[in-house]
Amino acid sequence: MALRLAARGIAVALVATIAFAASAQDNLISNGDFEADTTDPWGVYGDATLTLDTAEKHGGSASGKVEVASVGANFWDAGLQYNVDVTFTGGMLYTWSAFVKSTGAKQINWKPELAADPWTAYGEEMKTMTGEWTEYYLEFTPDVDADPASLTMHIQADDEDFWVDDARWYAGAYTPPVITAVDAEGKVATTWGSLKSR
Amino acid sequence: MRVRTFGRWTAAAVAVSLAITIAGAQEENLVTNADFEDELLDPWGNYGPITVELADKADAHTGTEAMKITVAAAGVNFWDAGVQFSDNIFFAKNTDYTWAMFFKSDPPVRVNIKPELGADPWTAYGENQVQLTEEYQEFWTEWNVGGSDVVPASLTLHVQFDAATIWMDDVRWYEGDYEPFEGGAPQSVDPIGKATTTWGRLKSPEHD
Repeated sequence: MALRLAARGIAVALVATIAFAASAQDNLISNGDFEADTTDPWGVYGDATLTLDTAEKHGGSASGKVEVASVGANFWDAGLQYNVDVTFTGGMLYTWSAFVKSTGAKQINWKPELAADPWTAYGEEMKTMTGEWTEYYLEFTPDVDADPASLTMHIQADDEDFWVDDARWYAGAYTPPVITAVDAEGKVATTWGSLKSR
Repeated sequence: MRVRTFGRWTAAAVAVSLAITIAGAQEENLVTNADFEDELLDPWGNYGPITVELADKADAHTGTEAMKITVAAAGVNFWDAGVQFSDNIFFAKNTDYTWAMFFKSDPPVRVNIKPELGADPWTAYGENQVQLTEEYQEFWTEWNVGGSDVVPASLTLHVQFDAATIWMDDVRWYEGDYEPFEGGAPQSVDPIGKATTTWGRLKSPEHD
């Protein structure tokens, strides 16, 4: 019994250590970690494709892989978007962050925007991605309500492919990802611990 | 007479040598009115809700003039207002280009440097967003358009990221890789009447 409890405790600790909570804030993005066995509700437009990639990921078992087939005439000619049921409230500070890794140095224009002509920008920024998983973030405060809105990455400044994982969008200033305890019941580590305690 | 002739040839040779040296160090600047010292804005143009004028002497990077761009408010998109040098220019195929200029702004603001096709779809070449400060700094971009000429072309600066006053001076666009600014816009040299020629004439004892 004591051994079983000890094993369970270790298992809980292990899970707590490796589990990244999306954020201390409510993450307004669903499937930001691409763990839902689908890329929905993410989408791409232009000369690019989006697929799940289980071989390359920042956390969990998958990431979203975006393959960019060509350099665009302009960087906004292709994009990765999160724009399902997205609205911005005027005067509210938001943070949009994601872990990104690219095949080579890649320029991505991060643009929270109105999801309709004239595609009004709210705090857009051109960022350079690298071959290492790195969290990038953008803080923005729309001056007016935006509905519909979109979290858009313009990706055709070059034709480097990239991966995205553990994306967050929340109200408030940027906060680093936090490590929190999770309910270990039913997790692999718990099962392993139970087996070892028999 | 022979001494005078020798002196003139020496002066000419020195002048040619100097011109070659300058040309080697600084490529020919393809921008006219690059330092705004003509007290004109032509042939520079602009579009969108901004005002462009000559700056006060105190705001020049060198000389006594610079371009002053007043952006009253952020645009819906940063490309909604811009300054352009598009005076019948084109980008030649398989040619390395550099476009460099000095900027400062109040408050600090970004500018999008975009050599582009001067018509829809405004294809970008070497586009680069830069962060200005309240002190003059030189920014530049390099590009090569590949196997086809780009006609018409435009050197475009998108400036409507945010409200600010932006100053620009000492612009260079030339063939080749970036070379640091050496204090003045490169110019061709005509040796007749220049200092080296005068020096040569003075050195000739038979100067008439």
